[in-house]
Amino acid sequence: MPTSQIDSHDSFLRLYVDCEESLRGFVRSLLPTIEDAREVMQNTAAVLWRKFDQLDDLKNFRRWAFGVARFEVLAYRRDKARDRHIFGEELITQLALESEEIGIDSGHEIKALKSCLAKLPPKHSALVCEAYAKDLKIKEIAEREGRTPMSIYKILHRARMALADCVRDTLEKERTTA
Amino acid sequence: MKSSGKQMERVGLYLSGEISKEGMLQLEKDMLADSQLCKDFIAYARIDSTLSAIVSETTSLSEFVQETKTKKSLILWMPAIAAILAVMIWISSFTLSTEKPLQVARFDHLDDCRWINQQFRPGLGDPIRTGQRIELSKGYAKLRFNTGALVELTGPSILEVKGENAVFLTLGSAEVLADSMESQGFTLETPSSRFVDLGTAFSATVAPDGLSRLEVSQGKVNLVVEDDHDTHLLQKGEAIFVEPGSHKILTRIESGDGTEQFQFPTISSPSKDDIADQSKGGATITAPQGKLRTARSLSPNPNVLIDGRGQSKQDSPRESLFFENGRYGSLLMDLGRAVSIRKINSYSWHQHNRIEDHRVRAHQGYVLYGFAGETPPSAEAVGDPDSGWVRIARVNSDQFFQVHQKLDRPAQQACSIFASKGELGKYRYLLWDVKAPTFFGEIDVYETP
Repeated sequence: MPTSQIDSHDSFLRLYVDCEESLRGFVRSLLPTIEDAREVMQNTAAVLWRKFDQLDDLKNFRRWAFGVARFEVLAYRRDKARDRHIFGEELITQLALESEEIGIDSGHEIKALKSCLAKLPPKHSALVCEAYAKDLKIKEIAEREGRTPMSIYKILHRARMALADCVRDTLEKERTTA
Repeated sequence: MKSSGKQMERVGLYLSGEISKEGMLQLEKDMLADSQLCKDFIAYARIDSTLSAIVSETTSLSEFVQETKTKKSLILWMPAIAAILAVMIWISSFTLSTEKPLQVARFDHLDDCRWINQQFRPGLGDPIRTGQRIELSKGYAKLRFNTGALVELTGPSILEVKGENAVFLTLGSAEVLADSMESQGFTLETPSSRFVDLGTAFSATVAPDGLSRLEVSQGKVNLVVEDDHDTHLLQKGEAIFVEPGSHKILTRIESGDGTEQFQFPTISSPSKDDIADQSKGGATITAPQGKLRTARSLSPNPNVLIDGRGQSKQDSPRESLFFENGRYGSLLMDLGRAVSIRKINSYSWHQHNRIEDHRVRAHQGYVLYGFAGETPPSAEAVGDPDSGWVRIARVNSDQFFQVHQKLDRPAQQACSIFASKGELGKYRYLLWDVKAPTFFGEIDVYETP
């Protein structure tokens, strides 16, 4: 690989890895399933890489990346998720701005989430693992567990709420002690 | 979360894909009016999107989850299973809470390494743990697993260690040597597939957009694209591309025996049995872009691509379809009706009669698109995502054969594009956006039975 290409690849990786988690959260917030979000993230990464050399100032990478992700979500919705509910332009813009401003170090966030997951009641963490390890739908888990989809949904919802609170507290604590 | 329980419940329903239209409208209205709800919504979505990555690291638990699936009907065993579950959860919680995942490998060799995170500066012999992400921006690093498997990384690459015999290559290239008893079954996952070693050596690369390439240098490797899809066994010398996306498209490229029989290790020879063959009378080929060339005193004949055979000799312009040097174009095939397509093969052959290393027109380089409607969009619009053309696959045989010198390029080549499960897609029109001076000898399109 020529040196200039290595340098370009290198810069791209640094910048992309830096905002990947925020971008993923943003894309996820605009699409109804994890599978959809995964596909759009892949398309977004491809476009960012393809057009990276057109970016004038690397300082603008984050903003540009969110713009591309937003466009990819809209394109995806147009092509594949026509029948699904999606937010309007105004809210999408607002969510992009909010997500873009979140300056959380993704490494710390992942570490915090891991330790928070361990603090959940065992039954809840087992259910979270079951749901996310195989991308199972609530209906499938409910059938497997012999419970109603609503009861499964409620447990997962409570678990995610608890995790979000725990991660926020952990990161805040880290910030104040740093 | 500072937002109300009711509002957050709507957030949860939305992200589970279960929300009603009314609930969605209410959520949107509330978020536009309340920035705190927006913040909570994003925090919730971030947790959701990060959880799947985190959970997949807890291998023991996820393996158990699979196991319970097969044993569900054994109600009598339920108490024992519950006890095992408790133990497994305890083990898993312990692993998580101690935050000291298993050490599964060590850095065995480091050469001129530059790391994306500059604070990360491992030394020789430093331990590597499950869940650790190794982000190499430049240089070379060798990882020695406790099982004996060796993984060589060349920057820029991002690799995550998933377990004692498993890694996930997000980006870049990795070479795996797993020939010891303990390392058999070593698994390298990429965004589009999973490569399972069967006592062998192989290399994998992943492009930034998720396109994966696997090449087997020793022994055998099983390619698993999705759990419920067919597996593909690749042997020494074979290689394959896997396109990213939910519909997995595989591209196999092989070099032929250099005879007019066009024989390849696994790809079938040019055939009259495909639906595009001129004997069936339904398909036509044109060149909407670019200038076709041919032998002197003849006019280009696109039908050479659907006559059921390749060229009869190694350097035969009159039996080939090709573009002006350096000015490529596109080939449009109209199948006459929308067809469920199983496989598309393309063949090329070029070897100058006197100059040994002149075989440049054997190179196949194109992007293949499809369109199912009655009237095809303009060929010029293929790069526009709104044009209606659906990209099926990208082919670059020079990249595939890692052509550095002219003689590295096989003179006779076949490329086969197929889906890992079911059809490639349903299309009436196929468009090859050609980016090489290829002497195409034949293109075969096979219908799904």
